[in-house]
Amino acid sequence: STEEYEGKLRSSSTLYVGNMSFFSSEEQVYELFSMCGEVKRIIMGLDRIKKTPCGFCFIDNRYYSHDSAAKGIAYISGTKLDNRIIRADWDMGFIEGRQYGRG
Amino acid sequence: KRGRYFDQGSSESESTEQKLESLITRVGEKGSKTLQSNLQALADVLHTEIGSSSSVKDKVLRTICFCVTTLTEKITIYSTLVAILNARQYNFGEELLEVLMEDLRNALALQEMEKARILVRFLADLVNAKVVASSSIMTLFDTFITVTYEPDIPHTRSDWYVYMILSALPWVGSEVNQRKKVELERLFTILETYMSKRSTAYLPAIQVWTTDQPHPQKDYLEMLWIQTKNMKDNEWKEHILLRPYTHFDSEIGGAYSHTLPTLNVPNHTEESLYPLPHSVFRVYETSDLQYAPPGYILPPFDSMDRYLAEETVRCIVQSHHTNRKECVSALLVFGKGVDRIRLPAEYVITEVLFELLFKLPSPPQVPVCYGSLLIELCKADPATFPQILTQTTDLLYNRLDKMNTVCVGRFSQWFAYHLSNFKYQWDWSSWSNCLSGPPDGPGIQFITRVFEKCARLGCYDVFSELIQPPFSTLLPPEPLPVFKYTLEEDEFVTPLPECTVATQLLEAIKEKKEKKTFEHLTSILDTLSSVQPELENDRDKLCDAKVSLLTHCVLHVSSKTISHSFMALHKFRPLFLELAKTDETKLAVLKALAEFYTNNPQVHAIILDKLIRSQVVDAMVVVNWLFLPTTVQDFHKQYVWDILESTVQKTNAAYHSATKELAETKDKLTKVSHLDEVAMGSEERQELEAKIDELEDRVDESEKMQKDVYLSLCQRFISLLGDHLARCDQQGSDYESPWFQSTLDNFRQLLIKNYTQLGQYTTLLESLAFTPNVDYRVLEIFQQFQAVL
Repeated sequence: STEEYEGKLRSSSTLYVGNMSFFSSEEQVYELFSMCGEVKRIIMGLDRIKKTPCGFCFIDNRYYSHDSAAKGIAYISGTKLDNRIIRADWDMGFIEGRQYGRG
Repeated sequence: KRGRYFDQGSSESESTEQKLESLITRVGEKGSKTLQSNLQALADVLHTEIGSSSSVKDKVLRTICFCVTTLTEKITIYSTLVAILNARQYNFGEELLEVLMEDLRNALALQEMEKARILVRFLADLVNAKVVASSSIMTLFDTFITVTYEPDIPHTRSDWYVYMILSALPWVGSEVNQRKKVELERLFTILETYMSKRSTAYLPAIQVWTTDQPHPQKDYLEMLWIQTKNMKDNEWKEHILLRPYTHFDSEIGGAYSHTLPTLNVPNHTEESLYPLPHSVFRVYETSDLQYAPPGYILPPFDSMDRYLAEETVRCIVQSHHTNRKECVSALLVFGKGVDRIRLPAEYVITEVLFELLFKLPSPPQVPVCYGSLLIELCKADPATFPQILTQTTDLLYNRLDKMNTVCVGRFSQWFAYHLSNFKYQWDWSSWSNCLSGPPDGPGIQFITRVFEKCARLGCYDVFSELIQPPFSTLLPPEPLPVFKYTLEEDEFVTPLPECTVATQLLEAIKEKKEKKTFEHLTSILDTLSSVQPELENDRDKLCDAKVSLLTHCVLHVSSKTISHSFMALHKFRPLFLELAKTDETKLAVLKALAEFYTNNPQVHAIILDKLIRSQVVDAMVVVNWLFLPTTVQDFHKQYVWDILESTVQKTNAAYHSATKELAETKDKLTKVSHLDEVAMGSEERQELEAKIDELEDRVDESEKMQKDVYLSLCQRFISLLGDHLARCDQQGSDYESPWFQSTLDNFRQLLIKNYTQLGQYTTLLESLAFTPNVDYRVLEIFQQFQAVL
């Protein structure tokens, strides 16, 4: 339900980052979002067929959790990575399979 | 985001209370109406609504109190609102004051000292609004000043109570000067005595600049005291604050003021914590204001106008930092709103943002907060801020040799981040004179750091293309892994003897079947002694060699991305735990990691973190690695300090979470014990008791680890710095090398940053680390550390 979904988002520590360049690497995302707190892992969105980065990723901030993710949205979302304005938003949490985009 | 809770629009479901909350929150935001009519209209609405029900009234009271401490730059607007309502309905003011005093009592008890400070300021401003009696605010100040008479308290306690008075006085000074002159004079005498006895021996530890030229860097309280005295001499005039109540004289002039209930200051206990002092940061001189309109000048550094302008900017940043757009628009509104003097607001804003960024030991928010605000300002006012930032960067760059190296680190990180948002455009050639100086000169060191960070934020290949000779020599090496066991021969390098073993190992690692693999891998590693016969009779060395080879190979097969490395480390974790049992062998893992990622300090630090988290190594092993000669020589580089900080943080966090969990479990047990008649109770109790035993062990262990880490760090830093000083003294050379300065500055901030943890070990540190025979130039930083507390 919508309520459950919103509850999950409020306690979430995962970010969805979109509008990235296909050339931006996992290391670059680490560098950028580590400025807001310890990043636990990054799951790069991959092209379903070519298995290459395709412009989005999930950031799991589990260690310092919700707070670091909130900072990511406040300070990093809307600034540039590889000259593209990236967008970060709350995500319910990464589930295997979601890393495959439409390419 | 605040917007989420105070959204506009009036859907049918939105209750009156929510509507009122939204109106109160937004009052004074720029709109078509003037502030005066905005306030009048809101007061009219509220006056009608609070009569309708007590729950509405309650909501209004709560909302105003909440806004005061979260939208601190609008204090005078809220006091005006309260003034109008109080003039119309006497008990409204009384009830509000009850809530406010309760909030203040709680804030002091819970040690939310910054919140308390703002509440006191609001109470003071309510004197101007004819809501609080002037005698009452003087009584409150008198209550606070008695704290300065308390024996055996840390200076941070009395300082903060004095600060609460001084940071409220500019709002109410003129009013109490007219009505309570005698009381004010008496307060001043006591303040004067307190201020003259204060010691600020800690200042060198928290100053951004190592010199007072061109700007004296005073202690925050001392500076405000000077500004207060100047304001007093100037008949309590100021030109910064908006005072909307002056427009409502006719309406509120006849209102009755209230007497504040008495307040008891909570006693000092061993657990009490108070904010640390800071020094006032300045960077511009009058001649620097090239991008301000002609005739606009900064108020003198010792004038109250300067404090009030800076304080307003700080309040706006504090209120809105989680919403950059809102924050920037509030900052720009402030700039336009000051019309009684010609204030170069853009320079004040920039200076304050750098003050916050450079604040020692830690900035109030993460550094990137200020970085993203500066980017937003450049977007919002592209005709002014980019120029001011270019100029400021130049000013700071030219004074790098006088800057605390911890701040140099933050400066370089900010600059790289800023450039990454503006296509890395910068005229490096304007800094070419640094290239003729020594390679460890401040300019070269700074540019090297900026390049490294840029290459990490951007793609290495793209960024390195942008940098032309001669600056390209300062680029970091390409961040490629170094696998030293490769069999590929070339004319310069013959393969190491271990290479054949490494090749077998790599083959085996790539195999899928795990269980078998581990045995297989161990048997391959066992053959190392046959290629390196000198290891045969030295079990310890053989162990280290095995672990080193394993680390190299695991990292090598998984070096494609960090995710690959994490997966490989996870898979082979049991093998690492099996092979690396002693501190020496664990150190071999870290040595191999450092060799493999020598050109990629970022991934080096990330993997090292992962190894701590998965308990392959512990904090003590990291400390051992840090003080290896090969690491020590990098103490002028950022990555070492990043690793140290992250390791110390993990040690603190482990202790903290163990203590917290123990307390929670004990709580649960108490609750269960009350229910022990219930059959379930006893079983659950046994479980809890077992868990408590386990947790108590964990607390002891993590506390011991924390203590060992701090003590060992202090002892090693002292001996390292002491050796350096002795060597330089013997050779008659200058000891203040960039390496020395970086080590000293970072060590000093490490102490201050962890003062809550270190506080309990000061006696231990005094007897086992900072003993009287330590070189005075090192001992000094411990004295400064103790003086800060």
